[in-house]
Amino acid sequence: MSAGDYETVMGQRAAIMRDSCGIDYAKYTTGVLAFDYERLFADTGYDVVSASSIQRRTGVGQTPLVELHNITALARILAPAGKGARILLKDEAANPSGSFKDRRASLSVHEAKRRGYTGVVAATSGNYGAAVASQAARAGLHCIVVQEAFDSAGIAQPEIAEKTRACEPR
Amino acid sequence: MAERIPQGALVDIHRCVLQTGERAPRVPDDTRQVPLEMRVKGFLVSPAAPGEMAEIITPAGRRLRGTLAAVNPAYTHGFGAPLPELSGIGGEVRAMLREQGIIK
Repeated sequence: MSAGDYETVMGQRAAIMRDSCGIDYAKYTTGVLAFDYERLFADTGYDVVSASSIQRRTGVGQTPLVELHNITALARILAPAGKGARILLKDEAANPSGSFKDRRASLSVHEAKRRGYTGVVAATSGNYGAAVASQAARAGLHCIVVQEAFDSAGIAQPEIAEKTRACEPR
Repeated sequence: MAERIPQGALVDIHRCVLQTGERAPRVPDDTRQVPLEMRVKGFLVSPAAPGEMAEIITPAGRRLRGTLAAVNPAYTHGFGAPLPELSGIGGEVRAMLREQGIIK
C-alpha cells in the first residue's frame, strides 16, 4: 500500500476537512439521513442574510421568476378538474456559470479567500465545477476541477462533455 | 519517428490513477473491472512525441507527468439528430392552446 492508495487517502478525509475549513461534519449528523444545518450555519457564522449578501456581491442569485402562461394553460387542459397549479420558473440558468450551483460556490470561494487560501478544488459531475471555476476566477484564486467525464472507451455524455469544456480555463 | 510536439503546446496527458485491484470498495462491480484513469490538459514543459511520457504545467501552475495523449484536442460532442418522436409535440400543444382560445 502506498501513501496514495484509496484507503489511505480516504482515511484522511475528515482530518483534511477539519484542517481546511475547521468544520467537523460528523458533529452535525443527527441520524442516518438527518443533518443539523441550523447548527452548522450558527457555528460557521453564516446565516441566510449574510449568505445572500455574499451572493449578491459575486453576481449570483436574484434570478428572474418567470410565469409560464402557456405551460400553466396546458397543465389545466390536461389535469383532472380542479387541479392545475400556476407554474412559475426560477431561471437559475441566469446565474454567472449557468446553474444554481453558483449559490454554493460563491460562499465556498468567499470562505476560501477569507481564510487566505490561494486556490480551491472541486470534485464535480459538471455544474458545480463550472460554478467554482467561475467564482474562483472572479476572486483571483487558482482552481482545480476534477470531473468524472469519460468512460473507459473515452466517451463522454454530451452534457457532461459540455461542462468539461465550461470548466476549462481560457 | 513520431513528430515531436513543441514546448508550450496545449496537450492532453493521460495517466492511470488506480489499477483494477486498487479501486474504491464501494464502486459497482463493472467499474472495479477497469482502472481509474486521469486526463489533464496543460502546456508542454519540454518537447515530446505522442505516446511518450511528457510533463505539463497546468493553468493553475501544477506540474504533472503522464503519457502525451493528444495535441490541442478538439471538442467533438454534439446533440445528434432531432428525435422524430418529439418533433410533432409543438404543433400538438399549440393546437390545444388554440382550441381553448389562449393563442390564435
